[in-house]
Amino acid sequence: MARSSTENMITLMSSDGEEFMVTEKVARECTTIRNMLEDDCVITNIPLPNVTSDILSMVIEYCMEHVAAAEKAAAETAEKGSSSAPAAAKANKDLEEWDKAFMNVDVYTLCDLILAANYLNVSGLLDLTIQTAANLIKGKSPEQIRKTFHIQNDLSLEEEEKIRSQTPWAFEKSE
Amino acid sequence: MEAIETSVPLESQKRVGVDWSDLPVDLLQEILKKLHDIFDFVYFRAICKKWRAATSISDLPPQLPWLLQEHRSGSESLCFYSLLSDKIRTIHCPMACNKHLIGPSHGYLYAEGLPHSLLNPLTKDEVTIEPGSFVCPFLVCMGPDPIGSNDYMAFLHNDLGTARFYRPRSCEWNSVALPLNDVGRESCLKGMYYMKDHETDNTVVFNIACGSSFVIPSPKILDSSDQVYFVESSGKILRIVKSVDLSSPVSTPNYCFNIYQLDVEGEIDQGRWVKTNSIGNQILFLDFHNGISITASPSTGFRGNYVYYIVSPDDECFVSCGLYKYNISDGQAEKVLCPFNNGWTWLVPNLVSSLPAGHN
Repeated sequence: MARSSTENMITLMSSDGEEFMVTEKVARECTTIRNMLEDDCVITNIPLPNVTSDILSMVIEYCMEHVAAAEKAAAETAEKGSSSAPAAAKANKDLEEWDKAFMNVDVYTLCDLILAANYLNVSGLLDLTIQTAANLIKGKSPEQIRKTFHIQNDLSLEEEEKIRSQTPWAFEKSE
Repeated sequence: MEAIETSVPLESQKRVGVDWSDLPVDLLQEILKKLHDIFDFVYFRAICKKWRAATSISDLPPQLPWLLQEHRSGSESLCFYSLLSDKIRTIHCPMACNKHLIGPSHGYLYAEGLPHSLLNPLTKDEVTIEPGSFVCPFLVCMGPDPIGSNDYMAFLHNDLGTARFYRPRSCEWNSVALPLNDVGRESCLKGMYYMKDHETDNTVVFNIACGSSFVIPSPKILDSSDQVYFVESSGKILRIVKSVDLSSPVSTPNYCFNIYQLDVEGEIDQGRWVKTNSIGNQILFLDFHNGISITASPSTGFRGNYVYYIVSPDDECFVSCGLYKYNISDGQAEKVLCPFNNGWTWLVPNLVSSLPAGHN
């Protein structure tokens, strides 16, 4: 890696005690960490008691990919004076493909990623994971949604009856 | 995405920590915001106690309208096509039986019959409207939101040029003389009634509250087959002229749309129509008389700056009947796949019952 040696490294520590060394630039993708660094610029070791090592490594992977994509785009702009539209569109598409592949996880990991993205305030990752969850809901019946997310139906018969009577059209058998 | 559903064996489901039913309320609400189909929204709220408690009916994200199929007399069901989910939605609605339905609007259809009413087919809310001594209530236009807003709806008596305006919120009737006699189904927007003067093509704008009116000159002489719509779009007043596109090289000319925005500098009666090639992020949905403007939400996949319109067998245009969309920026029209070709008007699905006090 041709990283400049002057770049600050930050150590992130997961809830289960694993340490991850990342560049300050990657760490700053997390708004929560960026705010800590701005409050206290000499900080180099950040414990993250709400994030396990497997989830933290995924969040870091996401941030590194997005930082690399942004750096590549900036380098191309600097080199050519202006960014070429087709190249930028391709780079965007590649990153979208990467995001899509990155979201090929089970629903528990997805849930943990939503919580971690929310806690660390990584807006891109939060949006991606929330959209993925919404996509898993779309077009499914309530029973299929519960099965997908492994949720127990704890509604009482009265509550279910009330829901059905408020919106009977949503529960009628269609053709 | 399929991998997500199948990759976890049942035995491993017992996990410590947070599971989906325990997701914090604000994150559940973020997911809900991405559910633009009203069925997904209703099902989300029927999953478990926590998901239900985290959300309220008023959280329904902005909806794309459904196309109402021409209503068969005697039918107790309304048949809609949802563009967003590409599905037919059949709604049992006996109140609409044998009534002439008029839209488009947010949530409510105007049902012309005995009695006249505003009805929301999804909540079954119905507001009965008694036109009183009006012998022949010719119709009607509705504000974008006939119940929720405090705007007027109009009932016209065509040949005498008198009109009665109704305010659903306050159940108020205003009977006024219009400055024109020959008025069609024109539009009522923000307390102003927009009419086309059929002789001059100018727009006559009538202030309902104070009874005054002024004229905005037509930028162009219209063809006799041109049709004019007035629509409020993201705070702006638009005049949409629908014409048969005879300049088109194809043998079956489609419609084209010229869009003008009301440019008001200073006093509103100094306003003029300025042609525009962009309505930004808005999509227009027109039926045969009226239109509605909806903001295109990026996560729905629908792009702004389009006009959706219906072609009926009676049209002077020669393309096959059905649903079409017109790209305002490049002037290209294309047919939209729709399971029926007898669309009638649009309904923006709405679950909030906002009946004004005084109505049951």
